[in-house]
Amino acid sequence: MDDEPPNHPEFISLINEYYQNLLGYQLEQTSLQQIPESKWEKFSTQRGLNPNSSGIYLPRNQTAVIQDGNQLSLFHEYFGHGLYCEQSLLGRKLIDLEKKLLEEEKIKFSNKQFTLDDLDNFRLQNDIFNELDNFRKQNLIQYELFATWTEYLLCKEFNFKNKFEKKYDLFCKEDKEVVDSVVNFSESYGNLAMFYKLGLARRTTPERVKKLLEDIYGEKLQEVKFILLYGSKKPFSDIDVFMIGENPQESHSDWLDVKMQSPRNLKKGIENFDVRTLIPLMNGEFIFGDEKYFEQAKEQVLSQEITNESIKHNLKWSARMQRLRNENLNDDFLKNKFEKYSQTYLANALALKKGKKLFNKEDLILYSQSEVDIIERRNRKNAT
Amino acid sequence: MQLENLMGYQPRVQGIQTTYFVARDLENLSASALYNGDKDYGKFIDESIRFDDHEPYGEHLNYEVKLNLTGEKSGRQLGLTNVHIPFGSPDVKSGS
Repeated sequence: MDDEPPNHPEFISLINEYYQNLLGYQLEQTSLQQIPESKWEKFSTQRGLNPNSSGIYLPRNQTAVIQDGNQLSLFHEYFGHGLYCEQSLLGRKLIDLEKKLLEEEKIKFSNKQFTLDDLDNFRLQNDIFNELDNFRKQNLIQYELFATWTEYLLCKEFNFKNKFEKKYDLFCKEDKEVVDSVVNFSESYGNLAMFYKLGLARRTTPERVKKLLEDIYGEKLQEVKFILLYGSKKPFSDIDVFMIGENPQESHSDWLDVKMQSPRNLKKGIENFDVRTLIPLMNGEFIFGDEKYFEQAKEQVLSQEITNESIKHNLKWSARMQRLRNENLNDDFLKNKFEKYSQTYLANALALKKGKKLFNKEDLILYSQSEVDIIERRNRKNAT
Repeated sequence: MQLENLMGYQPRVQGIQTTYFVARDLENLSASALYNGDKDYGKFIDESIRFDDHEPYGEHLNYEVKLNLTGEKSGRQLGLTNVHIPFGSPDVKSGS
């Protein structure tokens, strides 16, 4: 691969294809401009850019400008910063702020010539520029870590490992430590986990989530009965996974939420119409495991009768979640989590009491609200 | 290919130092350029994400709370945030 012409269009297409297969998207809005090495200094100084760099990414027009033929810069600026600014919230905000600032600059400098000093003076007094500048500085580590890890990833995937190693040797000790930790993470938990951890959009499909879980759990995954993908499946929400089995452990972060139940607890959860079992079970997409066992579990939910015990179970858990909420008032995450659980359990108890089997969180909340409305109307009527 | 063609615009240069631009050039004058090599990870170590073997998902993202029936907190699994509420009928006597 080292003999291939650098940064050839076919090579760029090959990398885009790799991204498409792994992540479900590729670069779409980012442009690439390559400048001959001999003209780099003139190019950068004229535009007030740092001439000592071998590449620059310009968020305003989503353009990676690199020295002709510099492969690591292609990986860093074009695929690294380019993809991050297209597919992460931090990247998108940088571009949005740049575009807002551009509109103000166009008004200021319409129909007149200006120098870089004029532009700098205007920007220093501009609120959007100051917000942009602070935002960039606050998140610089995220942008640069992602781009540097992209260099590592693409060098590894496309057989240029020696190029990254040469660059790595020039890092200082502290930089090496940070880069090592990112590389170790991706080696331990897989590339998808690294992309998602760093905030890139999660286009979840059963196949992609299966690959993600295989990389994280390894052989332990073989011990599960079945795995489901559920939840909102929005690109910047966490990935909700429901796992039935004994061994693999639960995993919770801001991008991956794996809930685990043993087969025994699944049985209990079904019998009790427990919302923490029923919502994922009845709404989840099958990813992996014994599909017949999964279908039988669903069938049992649909066919079994509602009992007084199941209504009491949901009422008890609503009260318990409310108590946990009250014990965690200082932690917004936990407080909200327990409050929502409490509401959902209560709504489920109300629905079950009326003989209704509702398996969707939104349906349950809507149902409980309509019940509250009925009670309030009834109370008003009685009062008059 | 000429540099100016590559960039799609041609700033006018007067004298040795000063380059003059017009409004349409603004599209290319990004205010938040990211440079390859413009990093100093060392200075971020204390305040940013660490990806250590023991804390692969970044400590600041971990809530690291494992709740049993009495709401007691315990350890982590996989270094991920762990908010686990066990199943089974609640034991009202011991849990409340």
